[in-house]
Amino acid sequence: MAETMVINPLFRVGGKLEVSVRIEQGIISKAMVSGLVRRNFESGLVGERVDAAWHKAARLCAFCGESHRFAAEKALGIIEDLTPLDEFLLAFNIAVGHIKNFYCNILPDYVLFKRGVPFIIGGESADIRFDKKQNDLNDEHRVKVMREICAAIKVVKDNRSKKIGVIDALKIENAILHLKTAYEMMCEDHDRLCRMYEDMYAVGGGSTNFIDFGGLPRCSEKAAAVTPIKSVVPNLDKVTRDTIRCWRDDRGKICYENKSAYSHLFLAEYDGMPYEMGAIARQKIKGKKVRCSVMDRIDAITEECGDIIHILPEQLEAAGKMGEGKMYRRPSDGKRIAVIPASGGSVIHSCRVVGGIVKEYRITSPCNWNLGPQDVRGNPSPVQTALLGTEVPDREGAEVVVSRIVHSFVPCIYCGG
Amino acid sequence: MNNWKTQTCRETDAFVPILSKEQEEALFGDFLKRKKHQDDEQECVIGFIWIDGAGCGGELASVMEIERVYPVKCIYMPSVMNGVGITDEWNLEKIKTPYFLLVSGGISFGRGEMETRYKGKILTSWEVIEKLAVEAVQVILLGDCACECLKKKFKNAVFIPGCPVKSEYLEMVFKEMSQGSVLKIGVDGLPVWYKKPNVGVGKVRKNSGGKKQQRRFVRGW
Repeated sequence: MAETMVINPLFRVGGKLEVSVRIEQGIISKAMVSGLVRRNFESGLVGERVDAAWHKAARLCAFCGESHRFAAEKALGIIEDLTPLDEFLLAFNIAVGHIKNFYCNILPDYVLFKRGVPFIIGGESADIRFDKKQNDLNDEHRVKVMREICAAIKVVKDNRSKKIGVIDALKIENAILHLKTAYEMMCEDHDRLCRMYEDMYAVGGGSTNFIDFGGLPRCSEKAAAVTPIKSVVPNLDKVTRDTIRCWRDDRGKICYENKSAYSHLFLAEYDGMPYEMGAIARQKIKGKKVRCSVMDRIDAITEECGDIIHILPEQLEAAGKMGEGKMYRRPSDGKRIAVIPASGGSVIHSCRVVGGIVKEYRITSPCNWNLGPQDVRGNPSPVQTALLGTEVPDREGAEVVVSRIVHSFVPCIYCGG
Repeated sequence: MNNWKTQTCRETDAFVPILSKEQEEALFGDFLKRKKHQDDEQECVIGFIWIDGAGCGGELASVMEIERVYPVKCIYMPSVMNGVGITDEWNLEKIKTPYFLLVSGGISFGRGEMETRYKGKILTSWEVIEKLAVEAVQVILLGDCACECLKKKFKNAVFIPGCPVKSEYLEMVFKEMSQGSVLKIGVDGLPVWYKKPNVGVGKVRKNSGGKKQQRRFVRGW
């Protein structure tokens, strides 16, 4: 007997998702992932002065805020390129994002937290395999890690805002130490998780196309679009948005009349095909032999986090040598595009400025690549591909499996709607 | 075909444990004396209801930065748009226990945008908030978005601006709630412990028609 299951909301730290799956003979035969937050940011930026647009665009997302800030600065023509300090802050933000995602987004599907991560929507997972001792250890680590992260963020915040672009490198070294301590605990928890949930290496795969636009120094400098047949350097002109199943048109205008629409997220495509983005894509592009599954995505996040933390001291040293503050320039008219790495992939901002006024602004976030709806040709998005064909034991088990698959994509959809 | 839907708004265990009768009385003592409920319907114990409108999740990020866990029960409504956030399963009329109402993110007043279906009616974000605000002990507006959207709607609400609100301020909110007190309001609807930031004071630039510019956005140009 076929049954349809709707899980709503399915998110933890960012975004509002509804997942609807059709289960036939214990296998997911149809999957729909709807992003239900509409913020109309692109339309809101049109007609704004450049400085006001910068102010707004920098506040697009609380979780990948630095990436959007730098992308907006570049796209609006306020800066030429990122300074060493910007690169440090970006890398720091991505590392913090990975750790937060691991503990607040992914781990609650596998561990029974005593006190709960703030706002575990969806309740406790029905498939907890850790015994009480291991559970308690994970719980203790989560509290300690969040404390370390808070301390690290506080150190950076306190030491960077006194003069724009200048930081006290000596004091910020403490922030890196906090991150390193947090990462050590994350590695321990990750190892335990991999051993206990080995079967998750066979669930949630399916994606064959991966894309990343590079730009993360020493970690993912190479940009590539990889398919089973070829690997090419991506051309930004080939990035398109498919809005056939989206409640807004190509210009961002809302259109509820579209009967085939079911999401506020559009699907971003490269050369007319959906591509998966994120830490796993970056690992693949770096040439590492990784498969594609729920646990492989978690492995990639942990590994990338380690790589980033490893290069932070060097970046901080370069940032400390800057001497003068960050130089902003008076923006000139024209059409510009900026691509900046974020924890979930890459953010793309493109805008057209005429007479100091924004005439057009477009934002493509990682969630538009991973969590969008089907495209016009019926190609499923990466998250749908991962869900389709998954075996589920029963209704309760289905919720657990769907939750684990979707959360492995780190569903932060604030900036995509 | 068997259609079923999971509960949209669950009570989260974010701020466990559930309040005991004594704690509840300590927390809402004065309010309980004023308001007696005679009906036998099962009451749900709630510390606060948080409505997160269309925002960047900044307040959520700030909550994640709070180290301590306070014994306040929470119901978190992620959004009130396209049916998310509130459904028939979540019976607004049955909430008898007093609660604080926290609002963050952008709130829409207009039809056709952010609205939800509740018992055959279509409610906008604002209508849901209005409905919940009637019984709320105190309405607390978190962040610049919510404060800006609702500043003219609530006269006695607590305004905690910030983009996002500092985690220290959110911690103060939870601390005061767990101690059983409502927030004391100072000047301009701000809590008495709120310190106004120094940035954004602005100075009058030449040829700006007397309009103040925010200092941080003029610097360096």
